[in-house]
Amino acid sequence: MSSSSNSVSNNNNELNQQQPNNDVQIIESSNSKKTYTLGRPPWYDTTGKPRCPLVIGVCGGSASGKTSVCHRVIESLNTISDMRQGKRVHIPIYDFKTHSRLQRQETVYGADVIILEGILTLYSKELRDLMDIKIFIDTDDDVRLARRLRRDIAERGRTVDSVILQYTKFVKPSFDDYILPTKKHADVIIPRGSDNIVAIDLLTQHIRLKLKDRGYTPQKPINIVEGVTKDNLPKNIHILPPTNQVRALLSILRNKNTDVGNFVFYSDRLVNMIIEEALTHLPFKEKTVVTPVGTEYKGVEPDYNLCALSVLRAGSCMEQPLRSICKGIKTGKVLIQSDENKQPHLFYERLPDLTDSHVLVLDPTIASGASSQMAIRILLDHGVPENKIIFVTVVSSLKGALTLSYCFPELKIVTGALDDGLSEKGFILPGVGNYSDRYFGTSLK
Amino acid sequence: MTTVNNPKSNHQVAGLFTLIRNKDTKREDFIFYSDRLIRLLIEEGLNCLPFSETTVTTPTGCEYNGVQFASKICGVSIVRAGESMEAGLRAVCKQIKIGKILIQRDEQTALPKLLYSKLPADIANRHVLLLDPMLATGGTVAQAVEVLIERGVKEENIIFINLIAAPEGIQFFTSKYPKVTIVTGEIDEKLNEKKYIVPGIGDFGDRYFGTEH
Repeated sequence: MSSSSNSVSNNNNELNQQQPNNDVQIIESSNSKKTYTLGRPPWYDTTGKPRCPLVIGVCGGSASGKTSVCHRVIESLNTISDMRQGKRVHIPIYDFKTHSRLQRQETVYGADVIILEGILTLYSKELRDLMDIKIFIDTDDDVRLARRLRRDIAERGRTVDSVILQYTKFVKPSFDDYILPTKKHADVIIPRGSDNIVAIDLLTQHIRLKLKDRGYTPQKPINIVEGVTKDNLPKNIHILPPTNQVRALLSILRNKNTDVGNFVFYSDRLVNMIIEEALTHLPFKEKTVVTPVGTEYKGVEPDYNLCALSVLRAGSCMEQPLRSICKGIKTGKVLIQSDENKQPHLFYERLPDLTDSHVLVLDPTIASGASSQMAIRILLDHGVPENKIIFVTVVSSLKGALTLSYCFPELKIVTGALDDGLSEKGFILPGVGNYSDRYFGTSLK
Repeated sequence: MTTVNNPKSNHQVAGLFTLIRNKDTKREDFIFYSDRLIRLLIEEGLNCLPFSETTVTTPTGCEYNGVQFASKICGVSIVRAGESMEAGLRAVCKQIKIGKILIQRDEQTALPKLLYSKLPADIANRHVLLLDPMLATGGTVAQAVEVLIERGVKEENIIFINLIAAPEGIQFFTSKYPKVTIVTGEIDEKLNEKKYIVPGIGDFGDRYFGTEH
């Protein structure tokens, strides 16, 4: 597993090619679709709150070696595999051919370290205030001009005269007027750029220390209030009333001898009831209608937009009943898989426009709650308010539900059943087994 | 025993009723939202059936103390409007047997008259889910129950599932058949002078099957 440092080129007019980060988490397949090469580990802490990435500003004149220094730092940091955190960011992409900022943005989830690199990085106070470490690469003017000449002639097909003209007319005066004065804001000044191995070593060691301070420890359980049982649950956990009908359906689903055909049929039936229950938690407003008899009826109508988020694979077991209740509902999907350490990883994410929407998150089981937490975190990062999210599930472990309830107190959880146990291997006890294997018929037996 | 259940008197259900009661609701929406409501009512109706204790073993090897359905059932729809509830019944009960009863009001006497019935042969041994979305005067459903009892069905084994009931109809029907369980969605204000339920829903069958003029 590699860590994730992301080098971000600042938006400025420097003639400097943004180099591809060799620790790419995302392969761009089109403007908006993304394919993750590796699952994205959590970019939030065990309480579900996002962790701030370490922000490093790297400034220096043109051809001072900023990019090289950044790459050296990233290479060193990538050996740290236990540091994973960050948040979704939009990165403006700068086109060096037309010297302009493109409309398109790239979405990157979860950076541990954000390096802002550019000639004017330390110019704005607002930006400086965001930075944890500010660095100025102080390379001699002559060296910079020499590099610039070599680069622009060799790589960009320019003539000596045009490079020198540009340098004396624009680059040098702006450096003296705007860039050099920002040196005083730097915490660290590195002479000679990337050749200065000692300085880069010191820098990476310092970053490692800083990262260790904020390390993510997935195994560390959160402190759930002692003594919570089914009788004194937090208000945001709702269990479908356990009528005989509901218990009979659960008995069929829980029975290991139930075949695929019956499992699908009774799952669909129970999920239908659970979704209807979940919908009762949405807001309504008064509405008066006239009946065909000519009489007024004081009723209500929905006061919400609704979308769904299906947590694959199991969440798709709930989509058919959902669509039979909510006509044409927009449904996003995320694929989250857990590794051997029970740590969730995000492999795929495709969401509808969630503006002003309530969202039903579909996942038939909540075991430890780790992947559920990631699904909710994604919605929060996309601007869905916590109190507009309803997590809909068939069987949840008490621990998993309490974890979610604790991390996201405004979230509503609607479950068909709440089981007491959670096994070492992460199975709910008594539980239903692997829900999607049973629904899709992919278990070994 | 008679219970009039109002399943989950909540805003979601009220919202569905608002949609189907509105005279301006398009037919396709009327059908979609009626079906959704009917499904809820049928699940509620099935919950009134007897269950027995059972213990199952889960795939994780644990025992779970649950319940199982303990009776044979069948559906009987009162033609025509009751047929609109058959799809909802089939959606929750696999391969269920469904009988039909056609009762029309005699133009002369204004009394309900049995025109046709076709019921499962072994209906006497079954619990019956009797389907009719509207309970107005209660005359029709009373006649239907009479047919069922004549065929050997026990009164207490009948569950009448309906969407909207008038208080007059409940009064009449329960005084005649106190042991039938009634599951209804909403109880309306009253019957008007034409014996329509108000505020009501209009003619359910006409709206569902698209035969209003």
